[in-house]
Amino acid sequence: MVVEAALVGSFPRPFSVGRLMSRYKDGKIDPETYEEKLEEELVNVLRKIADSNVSLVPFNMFLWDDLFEPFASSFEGIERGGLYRFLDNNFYYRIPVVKGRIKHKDATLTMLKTVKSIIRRSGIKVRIKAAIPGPYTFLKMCENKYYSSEEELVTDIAGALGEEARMLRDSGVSFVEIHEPLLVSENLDKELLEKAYETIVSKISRGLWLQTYFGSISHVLEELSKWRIGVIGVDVVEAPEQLEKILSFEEKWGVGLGAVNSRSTKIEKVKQLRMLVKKTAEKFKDVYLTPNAMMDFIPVSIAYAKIRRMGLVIGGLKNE
Amino acid sequence: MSECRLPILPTSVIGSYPRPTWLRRMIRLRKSGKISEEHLKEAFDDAVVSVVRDQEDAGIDIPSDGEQRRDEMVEYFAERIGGFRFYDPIRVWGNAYFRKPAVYAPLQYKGSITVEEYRFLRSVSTRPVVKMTITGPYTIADWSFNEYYATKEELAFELSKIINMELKALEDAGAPYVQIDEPALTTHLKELDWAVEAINKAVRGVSIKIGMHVCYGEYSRILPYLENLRVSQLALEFANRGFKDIEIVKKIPEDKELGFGVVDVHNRRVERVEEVIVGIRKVVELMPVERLYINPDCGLKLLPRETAREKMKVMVEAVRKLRKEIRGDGPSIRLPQSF
Repeated sequence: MVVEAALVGSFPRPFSVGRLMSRYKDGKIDPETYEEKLEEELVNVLRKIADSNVSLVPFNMFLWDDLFEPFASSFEGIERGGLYRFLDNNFYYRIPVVKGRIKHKDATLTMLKTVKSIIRRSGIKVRIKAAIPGPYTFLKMCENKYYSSEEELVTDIAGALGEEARMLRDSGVSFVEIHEPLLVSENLDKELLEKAYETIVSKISRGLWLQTYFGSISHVLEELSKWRIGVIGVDVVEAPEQLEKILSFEEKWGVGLGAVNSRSTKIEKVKQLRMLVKKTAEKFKDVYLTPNAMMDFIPVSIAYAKIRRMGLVIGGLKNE
Repeated sequence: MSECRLPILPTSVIGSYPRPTWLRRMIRLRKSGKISEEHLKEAFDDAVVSVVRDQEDAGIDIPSDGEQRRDEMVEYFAERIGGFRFYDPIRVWGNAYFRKPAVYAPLQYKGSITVEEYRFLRSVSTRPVVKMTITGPYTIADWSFNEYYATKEELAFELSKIINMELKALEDAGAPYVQIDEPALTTHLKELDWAVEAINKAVRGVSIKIGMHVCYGEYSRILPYLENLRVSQLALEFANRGFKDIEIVKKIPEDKELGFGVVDVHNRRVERVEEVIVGIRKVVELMPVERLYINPDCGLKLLPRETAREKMKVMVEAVRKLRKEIRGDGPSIRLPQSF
């Protein structure tokens, strides 16, 4: 049985890191200084998280501009386009523009190796997972200027992302965390979704964490049960009602319990979080207490406060 | 009271403009206590003179003050309305951050926020019409953390009261044209009913020209509400999306003008004049030219100043070329006081 606190997606990029990146981009600092300072910042953040008793984090942390960046920059056939709103947030991503046949090229593996080596050197006790966009969400949030059908497009996206997932898993991450916020959509195209996940699941047989947020996935649980999902991340902040449905579902998933609000500055109460984790742990063997989504939408100081709260809850439960 | 007739396809800006390097330095010096508030005010005034000059030299018909005194569009208002507090900045995209405010107590109008900005802009611009910008109640509510009010709706309506007082203060000061910035408007479909109501409440009893700027969202979402929206112009971003969705302009009600975004403010590549002409030709085919204004997609503040200047010049050059073939009167704006 696992009861653990984990982050999902990313951690808010501290202002000092943003400034560092801008200065590097503008040629005001050399690559060596940049790497050195970036490593210091990363170690500082990871240490604080680990000290808070949160032990599973996505390795990319604050390194990407948005969820799509490394994939849209690296995969053949895709370029980064204009700024578009990320779901319903005041947060924007550069839209992946598909201009040719999509082929896999290493997008995140080099970065993973660097981060792993930094963690090893600094002796920080965290396990890492790798976040990638889900093929369905990628399909719906990109601009297609090449493929004649969504079916062809999603097959190639899933192929490339699946290959990336396989390589990441082989490199020793605990989970490949696939972000599918659009699973909460009421107009879900279930055929396309199945098509995409046949491909993904054929590439990665275990360690798949499916992350959803900003709504309920109650309407798609049957479909999800067909795939070998290790952990399913659900948002019980914005769709608390789905917890009962998930608890009543006979599955062997682990649950990523998204009970910490990543869009609010109000700090959750330990008692309430504890109750939710305990309730979920009665039914599911593996329970991960997480924010309901990536934490980019809140200030770093608030993110730390919430992480400490998560750690307190898990620490308390482990002592019981 | 007089009427100002503008040229066909009048050019304007959305609002913000890059701060001169020396102003950024002065702000840093003020933050570290090395210069006085009075010195900083002088620097702000000088910066407004400079950026109005940039716009007028580029040929812009309706300039703004470049929002030189504002660090950010929500933060500036939140700093001047009682009931807000701030944490550390959060990222919006890339390495662009803002200090997202949090409402922790009842909101309170503490007096005019932008009237002095208007008076100074009016005193330094040679153009008969200048544009003032105000962040709208819905966007302030959506881009703030709500730690006090029971719902976001309640917060937005409290902000409507405050924005209404500010608009009336600007009207009293003689401002002819105010643009309400509501970039968040298209974000939450389920909130649109009351969001539009909140904007209408903010403009109630105000008789000067009111525009509204929306960007980076699905415009089709707001189309059903436009008929009831009490603004006379919509300024929308189109260049960033490669003029995709342009067909929706056909559905803009006849009593409303369009401020058409023709240069991308998040891309440092300066458009070619011909590209801009192609964009404008597309929109001219879809709606009467008398209802069109031409502007950048959004505020220019994140571009290097030289790039912003070049983009405005390209935009004006494109319009001047088109004015040779498109004849007729442009729109007119009522001036509350003689210029």
